[in-house]
Amino acid sequence: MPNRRLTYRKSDLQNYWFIAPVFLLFAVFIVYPIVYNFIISGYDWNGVSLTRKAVGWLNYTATFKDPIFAKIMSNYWIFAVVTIVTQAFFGILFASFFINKIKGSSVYRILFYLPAVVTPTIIGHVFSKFFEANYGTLNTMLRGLGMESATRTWLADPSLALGCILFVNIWQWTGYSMLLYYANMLNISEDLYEAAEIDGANKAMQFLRITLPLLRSTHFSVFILGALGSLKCYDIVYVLTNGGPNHATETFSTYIQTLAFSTFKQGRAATLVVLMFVIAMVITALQLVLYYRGDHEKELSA
Amino acid sequence: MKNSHGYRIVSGVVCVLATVLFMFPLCIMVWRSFQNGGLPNYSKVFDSYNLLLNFWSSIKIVGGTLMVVAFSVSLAAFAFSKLRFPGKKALYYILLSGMMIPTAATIFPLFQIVKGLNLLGSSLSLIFPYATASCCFNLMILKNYYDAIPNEMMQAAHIDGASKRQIFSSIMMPIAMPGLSVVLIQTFLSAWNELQMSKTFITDPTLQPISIIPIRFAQTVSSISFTTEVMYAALVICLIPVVVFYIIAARFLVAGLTNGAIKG
Repeated sequence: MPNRRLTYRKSDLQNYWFIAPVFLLFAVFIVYPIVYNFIISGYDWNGVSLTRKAVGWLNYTATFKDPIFAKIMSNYWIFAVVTIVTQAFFGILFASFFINKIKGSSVYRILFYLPAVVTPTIIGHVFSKFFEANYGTLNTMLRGLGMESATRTWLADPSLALGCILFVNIWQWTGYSMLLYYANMLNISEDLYEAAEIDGANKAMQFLRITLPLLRSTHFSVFILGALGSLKCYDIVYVLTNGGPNHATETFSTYIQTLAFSTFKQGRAATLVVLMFVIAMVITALQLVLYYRGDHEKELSA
Repeated sequence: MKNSHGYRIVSGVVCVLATVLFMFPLCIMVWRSFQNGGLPNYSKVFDSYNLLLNFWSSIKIVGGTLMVVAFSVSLAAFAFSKLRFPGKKALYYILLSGMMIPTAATIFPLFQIVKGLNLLGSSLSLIFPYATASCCFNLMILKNYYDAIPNEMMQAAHIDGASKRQIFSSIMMPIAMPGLSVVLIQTFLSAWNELQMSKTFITDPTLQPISIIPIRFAQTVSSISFTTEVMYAALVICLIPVVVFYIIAARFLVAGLTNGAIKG
């Protein structure tokens, strides 16, 4: 097929019908809500009454002065960096075990991915019992080992709660990055390793010089899924702490939900949505630039 | 290639430790559910909750979502991979950007629409938002799958006089089935487990999908008939369908992903 023609035939226009259903969904359920939030962020409104007061940029200045917003941002960075690094590390580690066909690979693969399919509210409850201060499994175990001094209130401790949630989040989603890495490692041609073997490269060299660089697109996938997952993170936080204690574990999602549906500050909620949207777009742009730079093979051929 | 002795020992130990770490919460849950009463704990769950209705809600919502996704994402992925039209690249990236949008960003405006259409409490209120989120996320996976199918196949059918619709439904879609099954598995899991939107749009406890119900367990727990052990039993019951689904689907997931499905 010729790579690029400047003129399109009339029949090419009929092809739009194929993408019409997705575009309709996209317009109604994504574009409209985002535009709506952009508009509402300029108003003081409780979300219910028929009148609303235009306040210009006041919602934005209030948000930037809000100490909870600062907490959300710092939580977001911690969450994203720790999640991405940990999941990438263990994802690569497990995937490389499985690619080398260690004993029991197929069973481990299924078990390690299992947490990713478990309903977050269920796992949230199990972990909230696990971390519970008085009769929780963790503290009971520590007391049993005679380590009374190591017991903590965990989820009720503002300095530890975020760490507990991070642990649960990584516990749940590491299997996903493992699966991505595994699938892409299977796609790397065996010939490359054989050639390297002949050239005298040992296993560690092969891993560093062949496997890791060829997984470039997977690194990006894991990066972007981690960065966005941290932005979206809601259910586990909701079940474990609902943003507490004293907003120590507040995320964009929990705070927006609270502002919109509990305290009825719709303008403020919309402002946060806009800021979250900006962050998401920056991540996306960054990813596209990094991923497609100097790699025209991956460009869509029209 | 044979793995060295040291590698086998280290990898074995790491995997056993990881298994313990990944499995212990689930084991605690199952084990505790049998304490103080054994199997009858499970029947006690149904004295307090009619979970069947909640399962039925989940099935309706997830089933509807799967149908919408299967239809719209197959068509779009095929078009973006194999057909020509002006503005293709730009439109594709615009659609992909949809996967960056968290639920929290759309939930209030959608709540207003759903309320305006008088659909609060209905499964329709969730089907289309779920399907949209899944389409944007999975479009790339399925398009990459179509990309791996050679164009020559389509040209041959074209020369034989097949229309685009015929080429799509009788040649391309059957070949892309493994890709589509990955898409549908992921859609099933995310729709089945979703919490934020479902708890906001459906407030009637008898109609709520199963993903929200565990929150209510925590509220009723400590009443005399609903002990902590019964709560664990209830959690296990809620978890069974999704685990069964996963065990059946696991094979297709790896097969579909490895066929060059995820490249970007």
